[in-house]
Amino acid sequence: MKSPPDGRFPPRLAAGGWAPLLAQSRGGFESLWVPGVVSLRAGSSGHAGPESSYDRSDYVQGFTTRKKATENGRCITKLENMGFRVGQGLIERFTKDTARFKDELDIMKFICKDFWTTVFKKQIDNLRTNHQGIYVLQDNKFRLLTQMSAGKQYLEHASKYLAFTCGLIRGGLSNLGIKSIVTAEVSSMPACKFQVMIQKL
Amino acid sequence: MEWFLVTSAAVILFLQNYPLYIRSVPTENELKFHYMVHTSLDVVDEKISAMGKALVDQRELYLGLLYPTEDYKVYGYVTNSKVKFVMVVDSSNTALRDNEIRSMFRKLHNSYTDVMCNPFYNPGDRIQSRAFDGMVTSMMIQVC
Amino acid sequence: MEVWPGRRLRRGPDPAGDLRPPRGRPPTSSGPTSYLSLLEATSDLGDALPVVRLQLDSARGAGRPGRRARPEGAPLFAPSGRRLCSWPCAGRSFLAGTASSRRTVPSGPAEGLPALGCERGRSLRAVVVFGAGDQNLFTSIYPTLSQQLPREPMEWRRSYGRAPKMIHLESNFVQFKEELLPKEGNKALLTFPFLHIYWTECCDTEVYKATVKDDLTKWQNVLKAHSSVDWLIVVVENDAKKKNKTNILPRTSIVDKIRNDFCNKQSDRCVVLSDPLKDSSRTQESWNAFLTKLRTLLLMSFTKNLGKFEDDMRTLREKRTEPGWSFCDYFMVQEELAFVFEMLQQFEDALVQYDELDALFSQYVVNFGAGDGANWLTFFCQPVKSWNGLILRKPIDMEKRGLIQRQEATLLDLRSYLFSRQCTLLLFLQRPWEVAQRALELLHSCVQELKLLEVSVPPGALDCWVFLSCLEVLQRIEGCCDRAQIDSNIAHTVGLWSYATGKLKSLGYLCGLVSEQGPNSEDLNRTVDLLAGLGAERPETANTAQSPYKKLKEALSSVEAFEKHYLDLSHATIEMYTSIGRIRSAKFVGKDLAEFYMRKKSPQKAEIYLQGALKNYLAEGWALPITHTRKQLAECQKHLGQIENYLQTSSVLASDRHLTESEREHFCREVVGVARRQAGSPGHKIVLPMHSFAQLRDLHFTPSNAVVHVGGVLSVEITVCSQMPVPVHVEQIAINVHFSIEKNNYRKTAEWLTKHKTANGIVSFPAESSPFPTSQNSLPALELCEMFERSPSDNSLHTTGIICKNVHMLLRKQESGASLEAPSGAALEAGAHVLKCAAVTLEPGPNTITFRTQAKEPGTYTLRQLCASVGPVWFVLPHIYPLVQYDVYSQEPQLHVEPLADSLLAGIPQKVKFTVTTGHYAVKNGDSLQLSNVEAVLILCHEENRAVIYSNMREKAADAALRVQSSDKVTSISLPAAPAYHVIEFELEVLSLPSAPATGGEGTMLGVTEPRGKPKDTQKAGHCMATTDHQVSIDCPWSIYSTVISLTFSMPFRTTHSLLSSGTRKYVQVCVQNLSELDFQLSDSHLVDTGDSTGLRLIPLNTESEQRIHSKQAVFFVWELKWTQAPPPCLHCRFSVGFSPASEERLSVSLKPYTYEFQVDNFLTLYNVRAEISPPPGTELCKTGSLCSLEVSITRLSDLSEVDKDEALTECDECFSTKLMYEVVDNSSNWAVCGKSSGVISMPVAARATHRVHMEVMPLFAGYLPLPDVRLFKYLPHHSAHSSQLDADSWIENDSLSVDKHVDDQVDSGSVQSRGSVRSVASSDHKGLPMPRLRALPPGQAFNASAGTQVLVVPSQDDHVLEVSVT
Repeated sequence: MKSPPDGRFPPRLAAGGWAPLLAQSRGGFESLWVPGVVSLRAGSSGHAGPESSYDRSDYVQGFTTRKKATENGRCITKLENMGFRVGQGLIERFTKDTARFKDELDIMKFICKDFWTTVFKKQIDNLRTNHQGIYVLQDNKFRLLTQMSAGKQYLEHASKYLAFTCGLIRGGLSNLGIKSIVTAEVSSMPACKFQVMIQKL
Repeated sequence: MEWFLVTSAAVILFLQNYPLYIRSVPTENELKFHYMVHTSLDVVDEKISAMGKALVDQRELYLGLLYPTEDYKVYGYVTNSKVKFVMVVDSSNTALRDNEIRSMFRKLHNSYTDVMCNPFYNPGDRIQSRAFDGMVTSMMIQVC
Repeated sequence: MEVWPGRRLRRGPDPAGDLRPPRGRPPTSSGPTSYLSLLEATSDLGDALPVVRLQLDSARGAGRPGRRARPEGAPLFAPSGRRLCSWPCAGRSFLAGTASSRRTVPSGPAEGLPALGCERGRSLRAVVVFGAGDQNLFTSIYPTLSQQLPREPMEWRRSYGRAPKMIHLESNFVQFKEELLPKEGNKALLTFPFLHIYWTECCDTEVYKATVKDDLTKWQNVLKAHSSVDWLIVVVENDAKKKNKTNILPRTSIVDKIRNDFCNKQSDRCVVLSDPLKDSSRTQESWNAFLTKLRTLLLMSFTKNLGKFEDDMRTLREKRTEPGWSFCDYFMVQEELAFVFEMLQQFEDALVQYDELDALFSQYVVNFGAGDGANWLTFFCQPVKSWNGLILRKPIDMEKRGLIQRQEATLLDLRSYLFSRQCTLLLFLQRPWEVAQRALELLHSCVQELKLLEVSVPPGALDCWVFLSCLEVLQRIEGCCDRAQIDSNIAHTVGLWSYATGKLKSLGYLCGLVSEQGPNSEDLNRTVDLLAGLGAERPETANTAQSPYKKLKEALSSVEAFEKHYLDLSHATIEMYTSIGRIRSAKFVGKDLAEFYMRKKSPQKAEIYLQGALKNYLAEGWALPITHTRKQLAECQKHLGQIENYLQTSSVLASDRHLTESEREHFCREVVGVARRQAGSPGHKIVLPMHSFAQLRDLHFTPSNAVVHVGGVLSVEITVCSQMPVPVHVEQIAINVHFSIEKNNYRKTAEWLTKHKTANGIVSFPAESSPFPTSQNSLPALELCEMFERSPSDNSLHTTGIICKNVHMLLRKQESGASLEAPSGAALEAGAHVLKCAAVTLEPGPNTITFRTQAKEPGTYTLRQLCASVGPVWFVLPHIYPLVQYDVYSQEPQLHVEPLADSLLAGIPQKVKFTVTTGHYAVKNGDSLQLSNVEAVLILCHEENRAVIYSNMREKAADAALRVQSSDKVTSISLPAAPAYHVIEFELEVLSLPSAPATGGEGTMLGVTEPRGKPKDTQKAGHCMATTDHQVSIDCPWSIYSTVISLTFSMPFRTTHSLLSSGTRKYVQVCVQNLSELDFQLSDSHLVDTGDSTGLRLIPLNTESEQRIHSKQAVFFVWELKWTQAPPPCLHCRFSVGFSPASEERLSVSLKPYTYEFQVDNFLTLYNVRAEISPPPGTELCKTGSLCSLEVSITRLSDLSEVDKDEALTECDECFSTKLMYEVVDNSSNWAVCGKSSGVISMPVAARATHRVHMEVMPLFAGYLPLPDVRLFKYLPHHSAHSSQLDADSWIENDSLSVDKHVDDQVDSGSVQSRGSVRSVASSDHKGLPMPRLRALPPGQAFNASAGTQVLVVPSQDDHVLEVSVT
């Protein structure tokens, strides 16, 4: 996970390794307010369910040659897995002093506010849910993309920068007892969307 | 001397209720502890399920006294990541009030967090961390 | 109800009697006692009933309907007293009972008063002593008073910032007696006279002065003496009296008198009540005023006294560090307070009092444990003598209270009394579940405290106490809740149940009731002692069947009874636990039950419980409990004689790390021993899973690629890690192998196995899964991939992202993992193919076992099961995973022949590699390959030919000399002896005779005869070599058919020849091109005339004989032809040149030279053509644009010869002439030919006959211009029909000729002009007609002498105005 060489960037991220972040204890949180953090329009989330995104994967195969895709997929998956493990550790630390969560939504809010703030120095700009286990987290200025967001030039590489974060979310959630699948989508950088599909167990 | 016979066992349990870490002094009636702690899980589960409905301020990680037995007190603690801590203290050990127990649990939780954040630790495995052992030992000595 | 006062009046009871204790207590006894004596009295509803009634009814009489009467009445008085007897009938709840009693009581007049509705239940019953005054007055007023007083609630402000409460006041009115006034240091609150009222009705001063005043003063003095300041004087006025009395003072005077006589400054202490018995508004308001006053005062006084009491109590508590301080005394005091609160329905407050006492006591005990003991505690440290459990059926357990009061209570007494009170209050507060919970804590803490205080307790006494107490509490709770409530609150009570169960169990063990031979003598003694400690059953439970007391007695009475009770309890407990989902706890109780059954020697009952528990522990991976339970299970199974299960369990145990070595060895011995014993019954197999016995670590094949040929030897070496603590001797270890015919034959070949090598042939198996289920792994790993979404319009990327490809799999619910203990799969399958290894002793830890097998049938063998047999016991690893296979193949012998180089060149010896794959055929000595020879190919055999023999693994096996004998027909190569499945490799040199294959160019090609050789003409393909295939048939010893192999040789050279002439002299040029990659050395080139015509000589003009020709180069050879007499029209030549590869120094064999044959014919020069351009006359140089004359002279060089004999030859007067056609063409367009550029001439066939043609040409450029070249054709007249030979050009020529063939010689220029047009016409109409023909002369025949000569042309001055006009 390389991070943009950005002074404003959290030094621990810039340091490249996540271990320092893991090691350092979570600083004091100021309670945050996400503008319109949850729009309670049931089922109104712009994203369809898993099957549609599955269709899209086929649709994608049309463009990328299968071999390249699989090869790419492998490193994406690897990045995601790294993120997963890191996420587990982070969430353990971040939730150490918080009260027990009321429900799923409560947890998602935590991810959007505290978790995001501690990792990315900002919070998720918008969280939407269809109340059927699908959440869409939108970050309008995603830290890892800001450095390459001038124009569409690097759009095709954006997903590599999202994989790790997908893992972070998934790891965090799973450690809080929510099994999920996290996918991401960028159309106009640096804004990006993370879609969380909760696995009903 | 007698005070050292006063036993206390710190046990950590994972989400699936299998032990991640068990430690008890003295070791002779370890088995008894295991049975006791295992049974206490029932209460932990009850408390957790009840916890969902509770108000925010009551939703603290410390579950308090799970249940007293004739000669032991079993206390519980559940992290947000659903890791259950159970501590068994000799009930004749009246020095330990609720607050001491709570703070002990916090200490446990802290060092558990460190274990979790150790990239070489594979979540779900039994904990074999010297640091953790040391912490628990010190805690037990303080208890005994 | 109003009748009561009346009756009371009639009986004229002595109110003091209310307080006089029954049973002749000394009247000196302090308040509480006397008060409580009432309570006591209530408990036995005998003699004191009227008294009770009085108390009670003064409450009732106040118009309180039952609803009011109950709340303060119930706990202390008759209603609850009545309940007492009705308690044991379970199910009819006490609280419910009161509820119903509320309903049943008829509603008095006070009913429907709003104030009561809301404030019901809070009331103060104050004792009011009323002064003498006149009885009649009071009695007349009393009813109204006592009815009116409680109507209005008063706000009760409390000290220490406690919340104010609204309470109703009602009072006991008692006649004033001096001795009733409390003494100093009085601790009684309940009977405290809170307010003294003096009633008077007098209205005239005389009477007042005479009697009332004195009376009042006396009264006041008494009060002062007792320093009680709460008093009130009531003056009742009656208009009736006033009427008949005439001489009357203003009414106020009396009041005023009293006021200034007695109540100085506090004038409010005297109130007027005017005609109380009338019903007028005036009456009403005077009543109200009075009542308010009364209430206020009453309450004031009460609060004051209460506060005082509390303060006293606190000060008393503060003294607790002083030596003399006694807990019991303090207890009594604080309990008094509690009583008051209870009476006030302030149950919380009451409870608080007891809790404080409780806490205080516990603290003392703790401190005692910590070292500093208060001496009073030693009372409680006296040894426990009676352990009858809690008593909760009475509101107040008087005898225990007595004990405490007398400071004789043991710790248990104190505790149980304390708890019984708390219990009572909690029940009033309708918190029965808290009772259960507190009870459990109490029991635990009692046990602890006894330990802490080192109180000597006879063995089992505590168990009895706890058992009884548990049941008592449970029954008490059941007594006041209905079934539904109880069922929904099992969670609270179940703790008590299991505690009781446990205690009963330990009692059972203590009293030897669990052993199957029953209790022995000292068991019995112990039992008797225990029962003695219970004392006699208490009266209140005496007539209930199920009382705890009875239960315990019965349970301890006999083995059977105990079993019955114990089982009942256990089952009840288990059931409850399961019903509230506390499975683990249920299992735990179940385990105890199992132990019990084991003790009772009925293992079949125990088993299920053990199994259940074990399953649970396994599922949650609790190592120690698993081990422990397994041990029990093993014993159980042993008793049950379930050999198989027993062996399995004990094998697992033997491998259990958590057991001590000795234990493990024990179980190991068990396994082996049982196996030995079972050995008697042959055939019968006991199949057990392997993993507990030993674990397969890895497996190693040799050969490492696990492929062997038929008959080859394969060895499998496995490493098993024995889990047993001691060495175990195993009769045999076997691997069941599944055989399947291999589908694809390719796998069977040697190539496959040489290519396809597994990683050094070691298959390692994962170690046994960790004891606890790792459910993380249950999910399939998610597969992500990038997605790129491009806008359909322009293919530009507009969205990227990450998507998950296997969502459908992940979102599916995962099924729970199967049980870990899986002996199910261990079915022993009997395969035909088995690898065996007999009599192995497995040491603890890793052992290596080697199986050897000889491959029989070709195919694939899959290792299925691993099983080790100890006697009839078979430990089976049902599935060997990952899949392990080995292949057996058989292979046909094969011969491969291929050249070493990429292509074989003809003419030079080259190596060819022979590879004999022996396959299943073993090559014997004398086996040989028979090569049927081919003339063109010969096999060069040297002595140093050697064959190398490789094994299939490409390891060099041997190296033998190779004998090659070649006769003319066959070459036989005798192979060295080689075993099957080996490879023999050797190289031979072959040489095919060089021969020029068909090459183009002039001259027919007579190549070397090539038997069976199909020359491929590769001329078209340009510069690639001509090749020749040679089929060699080889007879192999292993088959009757002969293998035919084809060797393709390619010719390194291409040769062309050409004839050159100068004048009459002739030369032959041969060009040799080297097409191969090699360089060659060419030596002694020869050109010989094969058709040896005499007098013809070929003189070589080549300089050196040796010549090197490099790859892709050409070399030219030239010979001059000389002849003496007339040479033959055609000449056959053979060119031959020796060649050898330039690289190699000396070749073994002498190589055949390369030959090339060709023929040249009519090479003699017949005509000599000479052209000359002469400048125009008068100039010595040609000028551009100026016409010059071209003179072409054609000279016949030889006389008539054979070659001239053709149809063109014409004879006239014996001089022959032939027709020739000339043509002047200037391709380089240097010249413009003016006039006819071609013509036909008849040439006399005679030497030196010359024909000249003149024409005009004009140079178009300046400079040295080459002459236009002159072509000569033989002109054949049309009657000769050989049109086939004509080519297009000659047609055209003929064509034009045919137009003007009449005009013979002189061909005018006009015809040339019109030629184009005419030709077109002609071509149209003269089609198909027989035409004269032209034939080009062979190059040798016409010699152009002026070829290459040039003429100087100077530019003309005005060449820019040059115009070419051809006229």
